[in-house]
Amino acid sequence: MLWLTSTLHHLFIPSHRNNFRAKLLHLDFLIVLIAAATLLSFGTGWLEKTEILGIAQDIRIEKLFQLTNEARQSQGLPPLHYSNQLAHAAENKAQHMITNNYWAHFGSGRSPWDFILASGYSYEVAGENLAKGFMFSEGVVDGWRNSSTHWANITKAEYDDVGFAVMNGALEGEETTLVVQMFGKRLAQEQPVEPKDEKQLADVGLIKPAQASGVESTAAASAVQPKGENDFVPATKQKTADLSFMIILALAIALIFDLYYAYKLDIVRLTGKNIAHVIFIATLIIGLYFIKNGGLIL
Amino acid sequence: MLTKRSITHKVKDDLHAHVLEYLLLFTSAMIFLLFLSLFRGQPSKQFIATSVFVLYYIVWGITHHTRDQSLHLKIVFEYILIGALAMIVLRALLV
Repeated sequence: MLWLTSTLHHLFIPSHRNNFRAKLLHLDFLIVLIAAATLLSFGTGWLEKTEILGIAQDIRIEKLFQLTNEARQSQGLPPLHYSNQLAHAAENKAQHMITNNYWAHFGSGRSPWDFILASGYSYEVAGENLAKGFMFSEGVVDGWRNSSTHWANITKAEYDDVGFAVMNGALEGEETTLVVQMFGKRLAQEQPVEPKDEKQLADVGLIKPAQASGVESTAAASAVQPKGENDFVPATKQKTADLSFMIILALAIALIFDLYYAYKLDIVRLTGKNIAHVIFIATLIIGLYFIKNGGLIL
Repeated sequence: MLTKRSITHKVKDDLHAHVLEYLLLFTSAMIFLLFLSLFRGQPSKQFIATSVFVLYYIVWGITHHTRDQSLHLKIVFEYILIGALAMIVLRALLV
């Protein structure tokens, strides 16, 4: 315990033992941190390439499903059932957006309802949420929660079923991951049908949404995700994000302690300006929020 | 008369002595965050914005210490290393 206290003191607080500068801010220690961060950065990339095929983010369908139902239950609503047909529709919608390079509810002459009907799901009411640019499942659902239109879809009492798709691809030259969430309520007495085959799905643009009178307007948000082919294995990205945050946070704490004790003890040193470093690091910590959470579209 | 000044006063003195430079740094930090926000969901653009901000920060540090007549190679290295560390850490998330 004494050893730990002494080490932390040495790392964070200026004293005669560390030449009156927190050891963490010494040039040699910064080089060690850079080496560790480099290993973390490239090591994670190597792991992703070798062990988890192309996974860059950690967005999992089961987690999205769980969080969506938790959100509904928090509003006193019954949980949604997972529909493979809606999931199939969502997957085709995601693929259609990537193939035709658009990110919207309606594109290349097709509406969300076309995809839902083509999957064999005849609906009384249906809805769609889109997301891209997020790194984690929690971020996606939080993004939807903070948007009134998306939240309205999630907490719509009429829906019974939900399906998700998470797909990677390039949109407008930018590698990204799309999340498509589709909601629905079956037509009364309508029995579940197997999804139509690929040829029928390809003809989806010809299908007219005859039941569209009760259709709800869609909502859109966005979330980035793994680069796998529907292989949503939990990624190492969460650990990378956590470790990245810890490195930056440790640096920020060292700077604040160093600044405090340097002024308190009237230490005169030849160093950079801690106030500037603190502004810089604080900016990066805030920036991490924008990096982890993608944008929303209405 | 020798008086003991509080830490807050010392920080304020430093900020007042270089108000324009700190204002520039703060403004650029805000602009950087604005770009990160605008480029949400576009990691390659966010990476470019981060690179520009880190470079700006290093140049700011060198300029600040030159004006302050306290520039030293060790200080230049300090700004470069902190900037490089930030760049590498964020690269892990953006690339």
